Amino acid sequence: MMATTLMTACLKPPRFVIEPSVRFDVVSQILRSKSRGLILLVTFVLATMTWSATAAAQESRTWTDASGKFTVEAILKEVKRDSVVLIMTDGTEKTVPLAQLSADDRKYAADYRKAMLAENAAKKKATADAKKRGEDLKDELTGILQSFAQSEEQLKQAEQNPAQFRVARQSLVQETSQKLIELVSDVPQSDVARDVYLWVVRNGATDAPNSTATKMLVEHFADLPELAPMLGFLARDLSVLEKLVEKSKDESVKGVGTFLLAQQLANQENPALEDRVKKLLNQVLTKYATVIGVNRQPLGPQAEKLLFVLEHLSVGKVAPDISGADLDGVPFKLSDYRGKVVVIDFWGDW
Amino acid sequence: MYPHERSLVSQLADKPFALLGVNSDPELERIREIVKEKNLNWRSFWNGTDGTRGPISTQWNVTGWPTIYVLDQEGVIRYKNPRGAALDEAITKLLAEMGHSVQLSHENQGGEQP
Repeated sequence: MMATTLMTACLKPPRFVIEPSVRFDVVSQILRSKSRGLILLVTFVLATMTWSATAAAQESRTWTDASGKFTVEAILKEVKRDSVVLIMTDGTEKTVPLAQLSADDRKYAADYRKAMLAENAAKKKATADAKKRGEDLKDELTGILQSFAQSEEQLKQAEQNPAQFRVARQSLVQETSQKLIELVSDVPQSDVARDVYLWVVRNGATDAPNSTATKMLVEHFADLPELAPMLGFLARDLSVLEKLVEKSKDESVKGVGTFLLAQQLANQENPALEDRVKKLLNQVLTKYATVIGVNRQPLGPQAEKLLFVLEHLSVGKVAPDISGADLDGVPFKLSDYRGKVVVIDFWGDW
Repeated sequence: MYPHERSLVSQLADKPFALLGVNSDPELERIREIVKEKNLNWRSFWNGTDGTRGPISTQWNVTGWPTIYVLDQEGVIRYKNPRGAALDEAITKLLAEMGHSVQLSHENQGGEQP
């Protein structure tokens, strides 16, 4: 766009003088292209904001050169030590030395730079503080867990009856979990928080502590391989399983999650879900066959079994034939009874 | 279970119906005694000496006993694990599909103690 070319020229004024008429043309050019420029502007601001924090929410303003003669509309993108980066109305960027700007503009740029530096410093400090707090909490975590272990030992001594001990221990777990979750509430992504959430879930806390810990593990620690063997009780909800499978980068979490998802859907015995279940099981067979499931057995054979059940042992499927001998040793087959209603009864006298 | 099963078998003796057991007792002699003693009137496959881990229950992925499947005349699985009245209803419905109307009643049927 012509305006840009002239603008660059404007702000490089040494020996360069533009006649007032030419300058008027520049302004009217900018005005005429305003509506189109605005769209470009908005698009550009959005795009810039996503990758550059320094472009945050800057508004378009009128920039004036040191001589006070020339002005242009532009957005401040960034302030460097000796220059500013401006976004023109056509979306292009120009770097302009501070020395060529009016005093007001230089102050504006300096204030902006100051604010940005302060904001960055504050962010850095907040991150550092959060990390530090997480580390500081390690000692407190150890303390709480030690006191849990002591109380648990005391309960063991006091309660003769195993059932009573379990009830008493459960309320101790619950109480401890609440303390632990409170401890890490400001640093939910720290290592200490991770240890807390794992402890809470592994020790069978229920209600609020359990749901908080589960939520946080899924939210912040989906890549943790430790989650895989816990998925059976960690992810009872289909939605949690789906989220984990989608989110996690850990092969075992993805594998176990995919298998459990298939299993839960298969349990619904809904023919409409059959294709989806088969797809999930085939994923398990091709990608996660050697991953160890929640029952400590590899997923491959389990997926094959479930596929067999789905294809041959579900309502609506022809039952697999049985070929064997009766209790007198006489051979016979299930298929000998075609043409009759057959009740098959797996039984034993015990 | 036994009285209900005995009653079904005897009431439906003249209908296109069969109750087939898959017995998972590992000792064949013992179970033959029980069949005689309790007058069990249906035919069973024997699941072999491995009992509940025998070949038939393994192929059928049976993990709980008893497990019941109800098949129609084409061998298609129509019901899984119906119990008591639900089992009667399933059988009655499938026989009706074949044009046999039956009314099942288990009072004083079988005649033996469980």
